[in-house]
Amino acid sequence: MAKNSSFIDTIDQIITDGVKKGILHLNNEDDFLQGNLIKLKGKDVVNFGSCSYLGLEFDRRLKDGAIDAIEKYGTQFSESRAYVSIKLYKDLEEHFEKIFKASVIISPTTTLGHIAAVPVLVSQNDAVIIDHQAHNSIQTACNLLKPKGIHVELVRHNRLDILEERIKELKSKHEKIWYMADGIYSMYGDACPVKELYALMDKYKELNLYVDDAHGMSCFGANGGGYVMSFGSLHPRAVLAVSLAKAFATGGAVLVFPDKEMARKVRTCGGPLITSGPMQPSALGAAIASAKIHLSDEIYELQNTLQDNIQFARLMIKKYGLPIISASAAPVFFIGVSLPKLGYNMVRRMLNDGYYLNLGIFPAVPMKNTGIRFTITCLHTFSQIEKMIERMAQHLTIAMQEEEITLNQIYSAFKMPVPSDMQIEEQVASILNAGSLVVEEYKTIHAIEQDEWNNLLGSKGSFDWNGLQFLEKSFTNNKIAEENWEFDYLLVRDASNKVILATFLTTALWKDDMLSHASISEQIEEQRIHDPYFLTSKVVSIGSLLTEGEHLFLDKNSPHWKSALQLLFKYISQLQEKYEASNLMIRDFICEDAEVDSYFVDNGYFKVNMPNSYVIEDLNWKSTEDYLQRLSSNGRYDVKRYVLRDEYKFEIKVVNDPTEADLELYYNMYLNVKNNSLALNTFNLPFKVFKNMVNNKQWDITKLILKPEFDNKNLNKPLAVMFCYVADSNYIPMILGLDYSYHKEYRVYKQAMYSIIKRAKALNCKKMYMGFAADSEKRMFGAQARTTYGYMQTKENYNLEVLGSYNAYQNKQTVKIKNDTVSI
Amino acid sequence: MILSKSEFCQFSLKAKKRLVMEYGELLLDRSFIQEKVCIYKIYEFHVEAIYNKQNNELIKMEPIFSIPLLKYYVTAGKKK
Repeated sequence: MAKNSSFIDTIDQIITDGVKKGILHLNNEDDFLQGNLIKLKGKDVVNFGSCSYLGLEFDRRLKDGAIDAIEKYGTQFSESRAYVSIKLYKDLEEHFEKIFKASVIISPTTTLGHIAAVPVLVSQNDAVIIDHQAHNSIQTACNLLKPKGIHVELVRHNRLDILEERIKELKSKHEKIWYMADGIYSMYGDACPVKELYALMDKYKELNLYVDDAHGMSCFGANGGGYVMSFGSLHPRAVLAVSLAKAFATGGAVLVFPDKEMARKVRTCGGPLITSGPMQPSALGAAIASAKIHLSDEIYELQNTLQDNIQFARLMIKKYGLPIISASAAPVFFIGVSLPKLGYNMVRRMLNDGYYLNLGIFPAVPMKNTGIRFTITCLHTFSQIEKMIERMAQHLTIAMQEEEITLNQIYSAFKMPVPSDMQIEEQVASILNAGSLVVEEYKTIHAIEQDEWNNLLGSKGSFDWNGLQFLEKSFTNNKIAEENWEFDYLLVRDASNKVILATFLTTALWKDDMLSHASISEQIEEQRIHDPYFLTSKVVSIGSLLTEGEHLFLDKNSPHWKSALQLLFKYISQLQEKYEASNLMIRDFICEDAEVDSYFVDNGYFKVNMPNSYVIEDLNWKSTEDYLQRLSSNGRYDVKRYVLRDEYKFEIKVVNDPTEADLELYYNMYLNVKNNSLALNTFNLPFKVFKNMVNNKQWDITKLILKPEFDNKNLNKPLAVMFCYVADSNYIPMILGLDYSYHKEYRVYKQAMYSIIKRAKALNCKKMYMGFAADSEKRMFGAQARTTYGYMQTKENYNLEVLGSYNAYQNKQTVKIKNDTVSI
Repeated sequence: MILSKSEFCQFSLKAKKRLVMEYGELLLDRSFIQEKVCIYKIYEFHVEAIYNKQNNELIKMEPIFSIPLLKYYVTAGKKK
């Protein structure tokens, strides 16, 4: 799914949910701060979310530095650095040149530093490869390169093998290849493989490195130069950006360059360095004081204290058996909890218990990889660290029971093996937790009683018992991967044998851009010419790619509906593992339901907007005039003008027993339509589907023919063919084929639509499900739009990030895709 | 959660001192010509902390593995 407005809506939904739950957007209530206690909601809590790793923010020397600077220079020096810089800047830059032993530029923030440096450093002939977990601020700066047509692509996190493959491919076409990464990654606290990268840079002279070492600054390296600098002097083709707003404790940022000329050019041409405001005297004064500490041996004492605390925290995490996700020497820790609901529960519990920790949630991590992120600083005592971890372990046990999540699920979400001593406890817990609901799982519709299925879902679309039989027959035993679907059925009954939940699921290969803007799909389809399965994912979905409508029967009047949904979540996750699928989709919800929304988000699903689906609810008109009267005035006008005017020139024929040649013609007509629209981008249907439709009584096939006297091109073949499914008095047009020969003279698509509406009426159907897309035409004929949405879960965000980096309406740019990278 | 002797030994001298200050209990201290020795009980073992008397600097802090050594310090106190 595209990272478009729907993506923003998703973030809004998740963050707002966190705000409502009282764990995000908090404000402290202290009048005075000293140490690591902060007051939240009237209570003193130990802050385990601070990035001031060395605890220097309370150092007297830094405070005095800030106060002294204000006394001397005022609260601000409000001039662009392009004109005049306050003296403190020069003093501070001299200190940093000693720390980094390289040329430096000071910037008000790291983000502004990236925005200043990246567009200057990267030339038109260069290519950029971004680690997909690199900080958002780097990605923002790289977005400025795209309009210039500079090749930008993402690569999977820390995969230097793929990076090397990409270098080999790109180096002949590009002068420099920039790899953008973080020194210490902000969410999991894992590190950039600097040593291996330097080796790669020595091997490929085209490779340049740009690293954001915000979380490594001060904590590592000689004079606290950071994680990258802990590997020795800066590589001659590396540029470093470090934050002064974390362990350095003053605000601001530093850009470090391998040579003076590069620094000069960025200083001269970097946008924010010309037009944005400078750092203010107070921050500069404090920074000079902090830099002096960094240039003394005291920095090593602080680094050692921090490392002692990190070592102690790691030992405690191990002893208390918490599922930690990465192991590095960084002060950032991430305890996996898998689903957001457990994350919310844990952060809330810990806050109530006197510990503030961060929730690591989408989009920073995939939904199913939610976790508790916490940081360790020099201000923490061992006992604070131990008590926090002890309480976290105690709360996790209880919260897991409350949220019905097992350790096995957590470890599995992070693709980590469950520690052997925990496996037996898990099995026992799972037996004890088995509820009173009865789950029935089936592999074919034949195993389900026909009437029962049709009573539950038969009137919702083309997936009544016979419809599913047709789908199973059509999408199995085919040669091509995308034409073979897995079918699974789930029924959940309560103790009285009443069905609370029923649905069917298909597992198939989907195009990731299926719901993206057509212009994005257009760009991606060009890449699929070389790599047909580029940006495709195996998806376990409720419903199928050839059905629409409410695929999920859920009895919300039952007190057990949430438990039944839990069983569905569990089942769909099992299918995901079984079929090695990347994404999960629970789709075609029509009515907004805040309770259901929240429940899905808590369980790791995010909401995605689907195209509107259209329905004609009333086919009960008595005459054409009566029908027209029921349309909007615009619709009435359009139907008269574009359809009724030429209606007499067409005839509609029901297709019975078509020949193989006829079917091939119809199939090609379908491909005409399919290839003309990328609004809902799917793989082509197999020819077998068309053969099977002919042999199934519930498929009503009609063709629209131009009468011979008007066929001045002597085509002598249908202009449209319509394949519609009839179920429980519903008429469901599924597939349309068109011949565009008379496209200009006659509005053939509109004629076809009108013909099937008449056909539905003739068959005494009561309702028409008109499907997705072609909004204006469907409205014209009186169809009502239904806002449709689904819930999705992705195993990882990589493809989502790649899709999000495409621009709708973008002009075509260079692109060649290979392996796990994408050019934009 | 208790630490074992070997886990305690993995920490730096400064961290050991912090551990003892936060979790330990001073059992006894003995003064010798150049050094002062403090014996702490921490977790399920005893720790011997040796300070340079001249500058009161901690120079060693290790778990006591030998019972006779512990007895020696206790006895040394009685003789006083």
